Amino acid sequence: MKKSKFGTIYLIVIFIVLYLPIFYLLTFSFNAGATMNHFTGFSLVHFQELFSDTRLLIILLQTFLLAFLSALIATAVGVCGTLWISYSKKKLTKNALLAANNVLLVSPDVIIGASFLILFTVAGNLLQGFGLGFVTVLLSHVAFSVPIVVLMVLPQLKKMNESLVFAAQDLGANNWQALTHVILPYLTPGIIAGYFMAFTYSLDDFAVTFFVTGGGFTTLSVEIYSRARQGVSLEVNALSTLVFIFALILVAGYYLISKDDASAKSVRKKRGVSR
Amino acid sequence: MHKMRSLFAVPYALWLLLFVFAPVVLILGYSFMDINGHFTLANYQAFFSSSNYLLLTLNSFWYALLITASTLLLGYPAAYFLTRLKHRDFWLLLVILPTWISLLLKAYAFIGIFGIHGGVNQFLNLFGIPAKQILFTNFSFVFVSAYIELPFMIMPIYNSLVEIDQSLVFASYDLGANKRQTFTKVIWPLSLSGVNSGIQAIFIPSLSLFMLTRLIGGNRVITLGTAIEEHFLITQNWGMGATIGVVLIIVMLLVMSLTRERKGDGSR
Amino acid sequence: MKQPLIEFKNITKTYDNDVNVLEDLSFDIEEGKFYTLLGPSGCGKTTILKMVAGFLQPTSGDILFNGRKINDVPANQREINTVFQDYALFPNMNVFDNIAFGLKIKKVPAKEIAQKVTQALKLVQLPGFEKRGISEMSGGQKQRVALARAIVNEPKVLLLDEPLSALDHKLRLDMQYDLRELQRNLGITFIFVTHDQEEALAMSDEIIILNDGQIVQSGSPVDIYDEPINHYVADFIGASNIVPATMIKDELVEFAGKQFECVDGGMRPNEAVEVVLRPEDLELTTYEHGKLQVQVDAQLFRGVHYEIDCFDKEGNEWIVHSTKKSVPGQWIGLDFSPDNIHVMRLNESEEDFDARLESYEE
Repeated sequence: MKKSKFGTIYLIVIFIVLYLPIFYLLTFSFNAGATMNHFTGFSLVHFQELFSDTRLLIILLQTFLLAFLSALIATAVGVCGTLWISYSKKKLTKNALLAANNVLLVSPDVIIGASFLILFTVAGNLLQGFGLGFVTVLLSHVAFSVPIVVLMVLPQLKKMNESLVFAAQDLGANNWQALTHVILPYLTPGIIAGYFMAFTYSLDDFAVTFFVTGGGFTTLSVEIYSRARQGVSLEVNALSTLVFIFALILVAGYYLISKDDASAKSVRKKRGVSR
Repeated sequence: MHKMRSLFAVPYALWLLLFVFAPVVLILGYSFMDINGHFTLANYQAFFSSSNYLLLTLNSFWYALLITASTLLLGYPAAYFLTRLKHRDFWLLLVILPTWISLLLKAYAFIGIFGIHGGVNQFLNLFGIPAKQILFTNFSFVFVSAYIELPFMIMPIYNSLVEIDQSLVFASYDLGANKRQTFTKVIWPLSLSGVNSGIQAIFIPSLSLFMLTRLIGGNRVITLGTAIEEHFLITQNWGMGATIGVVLIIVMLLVMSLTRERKGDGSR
Repeated sequence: MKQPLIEFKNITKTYDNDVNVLEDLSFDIEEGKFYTLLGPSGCGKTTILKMVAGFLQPTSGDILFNGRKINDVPANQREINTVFQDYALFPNMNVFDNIAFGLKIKKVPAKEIAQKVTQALKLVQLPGFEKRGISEMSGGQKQRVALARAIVNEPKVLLLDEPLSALDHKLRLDMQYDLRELQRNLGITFIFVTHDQEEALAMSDEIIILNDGQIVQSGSPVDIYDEPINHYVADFIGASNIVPATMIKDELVEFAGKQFECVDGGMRPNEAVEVVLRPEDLELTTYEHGKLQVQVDAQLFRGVHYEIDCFDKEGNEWIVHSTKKSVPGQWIGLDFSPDNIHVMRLNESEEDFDARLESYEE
């Protein structure tokens, strides 16, 4: 393929635009001063501030716990939903379920947040002791993660040959055994991917949480928002640096895994052809 | 399989009922309620008779359009050139990486960059241009939104471009088409599905990015999303907020039907 | 009479779209034989197989197994195993675990499982493959593992759903020998589904030919090859010359503008019929010596023989398999004997066909 000089320059500019703000952000986390305007000297003082900020550390822990739990529940519900959708024989039912599944995926965050706020308030009027807080945030995160899990698992299930289930039954397995011995192991990559996606969606969410948190419970995004609204605090920059490193590790790991997977696949393909 | 199917159905059906159907019904219902919980059409009346609300909708639409158009304009060539790189998977990952950082942190970065004493103004000062207020303007809202959404435009277009069979391009050259003709007649039509999903992924959220208008856009209500947030969380007029929400949903459905993949028109 | 192993009694199967896939189908399967269900795709053969396996229930009619009705017995409780068309090996298990699957479900002791798996692998000529992953195997090897996975459960009946269709030609031929031998060694009933008449002829004790959800003809491979009941079977079972004819009287038939002696009879005088003459039964001879005069149109070299395409004066096409070469454009003669001519009545059912043969031959 011919290399176009213009293309290379264009991409360089795009990458600079993409990364300059991020590096601007990260650089000032090492600033000895207190503003994002003048770099007055290298210092780790803001990281020290960060690590001694127990409030922020607790919020960080809560955020991860929330992501862990909500992804877990969402994965279980999502896998059930996937099986239900794929076992629906009638095309109409199937399409209706798929459409309903996608409602929360395409809806803007504010709509989800606002309608969940109404829902939880109504529920709070009906049930005693039910109020905005950790439980409502958890339920919301589960709710918006379920369709993502379905979306990640469904292709895997579609890829699965129907005759695998027939084969299991043919060999004496009942429905439950076919599910646990054949279907779920087959779906595992999709399930893991779904859990992972649900986890990151939960970590990343701000808008929905902001609506349903009610002040009793805070996640990292909500905390960052309220701090950013008060102006620049280089502790946030330090936090960004840590987040960036965390993302970098995840992306690098993902890249290595997918590269491994791809090369394994191509080996398999070659073998398949030469049989 | 019957018993098993109904067993799977229970949790998912519960989810559908509580978190898909109930919210839709509730937000529709609340849009017909006044502040005391009585049935009324006043919210819709207020919305469609007030130039404020109509202007707001138009504005929101216009900014979303600006954001989407600029990301498409910048993103398409980027996606196209990316597909021609040697380690294109790696470079795509570098496009994706910024999306893993919370948009709040990115918006926060621009508070520093666009600030009156921030990076951009310092840079302009070098050329003797006096410092200006960039932050808290509509421009900064559009710019930051486009910056945040750009990867979401590049990704789907890149994917649709990668899927194009190279032999189609060769066939086009073979049949006498030049580069331009090959692009307009083969590559562009085949990448339209990516463009459509890119537009969908950006236009709809752009209508509702209330946190950016608050952080960067200077606290003024200029999008439907901001208006909803304000009615629900600040003025507590849920009925009006729900009404704006319904309008936003309608706009969303409109955009989706315009950009949805058309089946059977030979474009695939 | 011996009790058949499987009986289909007036089976009808209708899917959602109200089209009958099978219509009032009845047949018996005896123990220890190699059966082939032969027919084009969509003829209902796979539907029959799925009913025997228990993946589908008939809309009406009964399926009996050893005289017991099994319509509602689920697949996992039938002493029947299947080799699937695409093998359906579990990708998350290695060869051993795939083969051991059925035994583990039945809670067979681990020691016995190991023994049986080893033996099954030996039977399918893959000894020592226990630890192999499924993705590391060729199509032919997967085929054999699928076979081992089914027979290790010692089923009464083994169902094979076009198992050879994904293999290349040479491997397919090898597997035909191996399957036949395996069936003889195990002594169990095989029901083999295919659209390939060569496979059917090569392996079966009994062939059941299906079309549009109905049995057209059943019988031994030789019977079906020599005496196809109608145009459809004759055409499906192999390249034949099928020509319209008139039955003048018993043992005299007219086609291509001439009258020929034959060995068939039992029809109305001057009845319109069709005759079959197999390409390999026609012999090339000189124009004068031939019973039938034809002009050579084209010729292909097929390795073991030449395939010569000819036309007679009436425009009927004649395919001849000959080791002798011919010259396109030349007029030549074709020779054959009276018993090479097979006469078929139009629209004759299998029962009528059998009845006529009996009455005529008496």
